[in-house]
Amino acid sequence: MFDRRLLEDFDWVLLLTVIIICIIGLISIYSASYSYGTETPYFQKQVIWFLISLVVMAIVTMVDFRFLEKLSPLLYILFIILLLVVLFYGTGGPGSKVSRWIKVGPLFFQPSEFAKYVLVLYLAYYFNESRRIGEIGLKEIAWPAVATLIPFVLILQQPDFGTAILLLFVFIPIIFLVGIRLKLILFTSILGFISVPFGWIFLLKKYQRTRFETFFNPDLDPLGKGYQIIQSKISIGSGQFWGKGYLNGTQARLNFLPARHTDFIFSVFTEEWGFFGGALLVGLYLFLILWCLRHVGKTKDRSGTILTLGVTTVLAFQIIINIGMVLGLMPVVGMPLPFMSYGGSALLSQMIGVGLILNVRMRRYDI
Amino acid sequence: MNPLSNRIILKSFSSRVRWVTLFFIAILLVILLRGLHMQTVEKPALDIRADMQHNQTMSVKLQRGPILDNQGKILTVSLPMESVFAIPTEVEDPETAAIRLSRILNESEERLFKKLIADSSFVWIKRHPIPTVSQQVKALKLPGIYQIKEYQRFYPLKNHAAQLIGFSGIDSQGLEGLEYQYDQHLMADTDRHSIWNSIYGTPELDEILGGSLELTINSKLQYYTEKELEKVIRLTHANHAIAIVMESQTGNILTIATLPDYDPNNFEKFNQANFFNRAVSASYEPGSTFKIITVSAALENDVISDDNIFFCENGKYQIQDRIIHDVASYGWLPLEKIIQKSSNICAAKIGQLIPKPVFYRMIREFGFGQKTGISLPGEASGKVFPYEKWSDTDVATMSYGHSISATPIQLITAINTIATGGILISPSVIKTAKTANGQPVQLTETLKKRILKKTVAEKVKSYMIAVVQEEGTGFRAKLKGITVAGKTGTSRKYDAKKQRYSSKNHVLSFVGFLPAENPKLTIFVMIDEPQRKYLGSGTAAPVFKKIAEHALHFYPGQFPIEAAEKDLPNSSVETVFKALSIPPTDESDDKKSPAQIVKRLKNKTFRDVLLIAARENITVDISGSGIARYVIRDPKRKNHYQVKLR
Repeated sequence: MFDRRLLEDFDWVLLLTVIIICIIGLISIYSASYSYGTETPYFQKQVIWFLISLVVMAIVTMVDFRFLEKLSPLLYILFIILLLVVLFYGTGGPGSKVSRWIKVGPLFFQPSEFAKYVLVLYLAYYFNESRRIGEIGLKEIAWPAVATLIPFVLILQQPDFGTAILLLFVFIPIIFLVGIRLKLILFTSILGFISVPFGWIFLLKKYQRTRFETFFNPDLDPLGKGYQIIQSKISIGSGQFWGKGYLNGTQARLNFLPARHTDFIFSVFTEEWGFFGGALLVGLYLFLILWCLRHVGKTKDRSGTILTLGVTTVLAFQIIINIGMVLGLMPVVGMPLPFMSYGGSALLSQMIGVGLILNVRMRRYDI
Repeated sequence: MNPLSNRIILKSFSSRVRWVTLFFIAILLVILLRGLHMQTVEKPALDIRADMQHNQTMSVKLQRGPILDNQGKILTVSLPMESVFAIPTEVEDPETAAIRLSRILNESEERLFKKLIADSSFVWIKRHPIPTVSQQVKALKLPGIYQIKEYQRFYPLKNHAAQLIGFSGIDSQGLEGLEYQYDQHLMADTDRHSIWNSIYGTPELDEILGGSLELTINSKLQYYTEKELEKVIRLTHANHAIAIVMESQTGNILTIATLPDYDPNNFEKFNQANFFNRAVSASYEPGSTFKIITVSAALENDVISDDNIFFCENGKYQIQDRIIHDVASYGWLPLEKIIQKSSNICAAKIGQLIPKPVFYRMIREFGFGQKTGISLPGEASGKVFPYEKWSDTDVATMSYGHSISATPIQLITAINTIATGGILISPSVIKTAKTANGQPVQLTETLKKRILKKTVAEKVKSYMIAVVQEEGTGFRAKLKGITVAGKTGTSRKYDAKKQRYSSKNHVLSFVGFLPAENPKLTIFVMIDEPQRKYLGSGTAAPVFKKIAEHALHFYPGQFPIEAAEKDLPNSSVETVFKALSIPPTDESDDKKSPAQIVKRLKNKTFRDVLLIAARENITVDISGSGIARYVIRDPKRKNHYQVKLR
């Protein structure tokens, strides 16, 4: 199963890029949690998580993705059950009023983090099985749409708007790739646009609505809902071109930026490293995305292509939503920055994603 | 799978992937542009915002410098306290947390619960709790409850020198007094870069700890002075009492007290009117003490000379439409007696001899109508009308200290000119100001200016010595073994509502210095609106005396303090006041029995006997000088009494 050829075709560039970003992330977490004191060893914890996820990623690359795809209907059902369990028995973590985690012994497990890759696997499996050529219509995407909407609704109920919307963002490029008619895309877009007010009223929780409101005007509530985004903007804006220097970010050090080691790690990084550092980091992410997508056309089999695109899209949208939110381009939705933000589950799931891409990549000639 | 169809699919894939790729590139470009925009175009506005909130935080983290007295004793200091705050999103079980915190903090569970579930990222739970409480909170180890080091300001002297020192608010911002005036100095440099440096790495001492102030104040003397003022207020039910003790030759203020006062540790519990440092911020009509200025001005400009005598019009003198009274009727008096007896009429006559521009210039040179520059906040400049507006009546009334207003600090500074032999010295309360590293900070220099010839000052001093003799109005300020020079003052308060001088509300004062031959201390005492029965002459004089006695303790060996202490047996302020007390004229109880009148006249001064006589509508024959020892009712004539002073 593990022959020489697999190792020869191993995508070292991708792995190296990911590791570099992870290390930048660790350095930033160290800076962000510097003022928390030694009682909150975020940095040490994250280093351990990083090592664990590398191992898990290695394991993921070893199992042939086609085998995983075949397993995907089962996995899909399992995760739907897990998401239901979360809704009824999940905890919200410290102080939170939401339910996202399942407690297994001392560990917290967040099914939604992994559900998106299960969905990608399942969609890849489904479209590969349907073997349609050329343009497809509404009928063909009906079931995939339903399969996407089920976890979407479940995750929205947790509520976790960020992860939920990610499922939709994954679905759209995949159906675009497999050849949906442009007319249909246009139609669904219009339909989606019309349904926004209904979703606003029926689907979104009150706190999610205020998030959107403060997105459009953060100064509406500078000490409350708009606080984070204002602080984030201040951090980035005061970073200047070359930044304030490592461990010299005033905003982070003075405890102004909440959640700075998680969702707002980009602000910490940019305050200290300036536009120069920020641009370099965005460049690294862009390179990562393009590098992954470069493979999409080169992969010989269809399911591998869909899988790679799906996983890449998940990562890309997380990057875009997070940085967009930190820059005040998008509402605050609670989305970690891949490979950078503090959080074990998130890093693990992202590394599994990378593992899947590497998996497909190293088996590209191995039909 | 059919390889051909697969190839077709993959071909279409790669073209579609290109679109997806372009989409991502476009979005990330937008993000880059947005970042560039924020760091260039929006930067200035964001910087201002960052500065604003950082400085706010800094004031919590930086330590205010201490204020010390002239012996190095701490008047105020900032100590670190562990303030408790919560990050509501991190609080796991707000209900039990509230219950447990409420037991320790002694606050309602409900209010704490509301704070713990607040929709914000930061809530103060308790600021500056006492150390045992903060330890207990720490021991609870509640998630989401944190502690931060914050400095709290302490004022160990509590009420003493409160108006001088002032206080600072909960965020260490100076709000009153020296705390306000020297806020910049007492707090570390608020320059942004040094603040940043102070938080990271090894900070310079100067960047965290503010500068210190050493005052000229002697906190012990301040304490004794305030105790005396407290007694005065208790006994006379006065609104306020003010005292200033100054080192005659340096202008250094040893004591500056205003009563009633407040406790800066709990300033919010006090009436804001008590924050007001009346010694520098309130202006009063100085009254008779101002006669010193009038006579000095006249002598300095050779308008009169030492051997001139003046006719005091037997107690009644009309100027334009105004009649000026003296307390007693005097005939021809030399300058010394005019001051000693405090004749308004003769003072007015002297004032009228001085050309208006000259009189005005002299008044300004003595420092009236302008701030002394004592570097205390809210200093008033008093009111001196320009001489072009002076009527003859104005000149006359001004000569004995009406139609002009001055702050206590102005008055003591002006009178101190006599003590220094003619040199006006600006008062100061700051001895040294140092940065936290001990580097001295440049202070505004003490202004010294000769405004009187030495001979003039010496002459006026001799008149002031006469005031504190047996026959003088200020004899109660007399100390055994030490010559005191001084001047009493009584002024009626101007009622702005009624547009006339109040017959009820008076301000009594005494200003003087000692020892007269080589003045060391200049002391000013003022009693604002005492009860009417204490309106006898020189009510402020015994207070002056007591403060002087306390002050002399600080010059051991130089003065016969023991002798001073063992003065008259009834030298305590209480007994003196008992003797001073003139029972009020009760309108309903118009006629008093002769026995009552005799009792009342006993042990009174010359002036007081006359006052009582006027009130009770009786005629008195007075002989001798000093205090009324023998009072006999004239058996032949109704309402006639014979009073012998000794």
